[in-house]
Amino acid sequence: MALLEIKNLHTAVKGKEILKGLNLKVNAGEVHAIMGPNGSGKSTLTQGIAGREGYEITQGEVLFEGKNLLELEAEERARAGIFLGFQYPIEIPGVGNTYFLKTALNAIRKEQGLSEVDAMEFLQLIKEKMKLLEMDEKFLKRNVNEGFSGGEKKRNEILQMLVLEPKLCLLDETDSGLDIDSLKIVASGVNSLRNSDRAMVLVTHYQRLLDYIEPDFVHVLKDGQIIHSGDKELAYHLEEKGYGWVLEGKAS
Amino acid sequence: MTEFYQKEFQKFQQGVQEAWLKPIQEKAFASFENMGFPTTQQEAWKYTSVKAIAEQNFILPNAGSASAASQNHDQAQALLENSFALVFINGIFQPQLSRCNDLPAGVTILPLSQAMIQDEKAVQQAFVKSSENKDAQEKAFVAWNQAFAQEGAWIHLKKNALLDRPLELIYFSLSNGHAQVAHPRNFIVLESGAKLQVIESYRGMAGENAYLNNSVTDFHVGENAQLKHYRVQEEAANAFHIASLNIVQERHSQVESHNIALGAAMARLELEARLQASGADCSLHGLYFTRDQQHIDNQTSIDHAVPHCTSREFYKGILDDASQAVFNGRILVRPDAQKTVSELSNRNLLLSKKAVINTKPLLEIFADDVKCAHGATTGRLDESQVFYLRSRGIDPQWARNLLTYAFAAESLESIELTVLQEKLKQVLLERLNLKESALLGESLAQ
Repeated sequence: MALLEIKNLHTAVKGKEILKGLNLKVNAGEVHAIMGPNGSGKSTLTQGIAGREGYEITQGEVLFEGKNLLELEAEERARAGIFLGFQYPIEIPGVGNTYFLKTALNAIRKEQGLSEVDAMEFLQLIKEKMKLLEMDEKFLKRNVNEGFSGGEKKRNEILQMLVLEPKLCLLDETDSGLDIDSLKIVASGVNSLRNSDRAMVLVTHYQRLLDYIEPDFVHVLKDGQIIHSGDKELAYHLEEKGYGWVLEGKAS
Repeated sequence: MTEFYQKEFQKFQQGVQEAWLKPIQEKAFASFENMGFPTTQQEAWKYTSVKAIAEQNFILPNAGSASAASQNHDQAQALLENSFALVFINGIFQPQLSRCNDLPAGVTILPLSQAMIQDEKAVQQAFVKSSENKDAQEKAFVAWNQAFAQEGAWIHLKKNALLDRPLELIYFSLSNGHAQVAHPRNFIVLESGAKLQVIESYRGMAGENAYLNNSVTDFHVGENAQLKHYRVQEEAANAFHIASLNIVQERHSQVESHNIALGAAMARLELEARLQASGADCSLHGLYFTRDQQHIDNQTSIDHAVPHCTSREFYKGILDDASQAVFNGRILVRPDAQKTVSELSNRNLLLSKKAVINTKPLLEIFADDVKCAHGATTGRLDESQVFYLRSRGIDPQWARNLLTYAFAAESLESIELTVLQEKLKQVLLERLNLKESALLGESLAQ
């Protein structure tokens, strides 16, 4: 059974159809990269899987571990093991980063029938993960993403992912806005989570990210459909020749 | 209303010992009678109806009711451990619950009833002055207070006197048997260079009948004096609270006033700060949080009468259920008040479709060389923030409560008195069902 299976998915946003019959199958242990021109529906796909309201599924189905994902609310999807790394992480003034992440972790642990972690255990855990991402401990005392630089926000997303240990990681343009050093750190954070039980879907514009997080599959999303799939070599060809090359059918 | 209150007034006057006070109160009662209760036809009361008050006959509390109430003195106790405190139950002074011993030199803290004996001349002057004030002639509730005033706080800090610990004025109310009204009257004077932190708090327990607190508080803040004022209104859910707060500021005086309004079925505060000498600085901070059918009205006015004064006002409101709030914030810059720097903002968060806010920030500027800004916003919770929290597994209601708390807590951050800030945060956390409050208090604030 696939971890995530998307069948003929049609999604409309504000009445406009964005995804037009998308199919994708992601097995545990795999890393998929989704590339495609602006406006092709990449973010609609990830936000839709995460359960954002306003993304209307008009047709098709999404199965997570064989169960209908579309019946679940956003928080239920998160507790089931789906994590979305936002392209533009949201700032939440007045809510401390530590408190936020501890609440999230305990909500997920509760779902899994695990006991809550207390403040001391949590602090130990988060400090360990922050070290991995070379994040300063001052971020513990800051409000969620408030006043963070673009790169700091992206690291904070990965930090959350490391703490929450989801089964399916959806990373929406996690590489955008990162300099090369930050990119390497973020990638090593992501790679540290790779294992045979977990899958990742990376949405990106650039092949650069895939130098550091090697995908098993690369898909080209265009006009709401996956029009081409291949292995990591496909990303190099895309980088070199652009999407037009696929569109013209020369990829085969 | 007249016949009932006429009788009440006659009865009341028989107990007034001070010959000088009688004519003042007679005059005030006549004004009250003439004006009657305000109606929504009057511009200043357009959005706040006092019909529910006008339709009832509120009796004055008697000592018996207060002593019965003092059984519940847990709630009537001071908030802080080492503060000075004057405690009143149903408007009646409670010496056994109060703490005003070992005062520093130059500081007087007395219940008004006591001051009328010990400090009669000064109290008389204060009453005469207040009866000459237009408020007692133009505002029905102020006149009503003046007519029946017999108790309150009499605070005087002499030149350079410093009260090293906060002073709490606690008005605890509970009604038993009858609808009751108390008319707290507070006179607070800081002579030049004096410093005071004062918490004015109103709490109550809902009984079968509603009670009304109709309070008037006057501050005079002398040259270079510093006042920090915290007003915490947590009246019982079925109570009425009407208050008038006047602040007069002299040269280079500094006032910071925080007004937290959480309780009462209907509450209104009219706050006026008059900056009447150069260099005066005034900060007004407010937070109101209404739910159910509550109605909270804040009328504020900062009057820049002279050049080179600064003021700022930040009021925030949260409205839930079918509650209503009114904010009327006025900054008046008179023709002489050149070089005034002032800003005013009112931000409202609506949690329910049925909640209604009427907000009107108003700048009236008659001088040309000033820097003034004002604005008001009204909005709902940011859905992208809610989704972000939910996408991490956080319960949606919890997410909403957390974001609401964050909105409210920001306005408490400026409260320097940490103990009070923490207590108020706890009140908000409880109201928002955010458990784990100990942890929240710690890490949310960071």
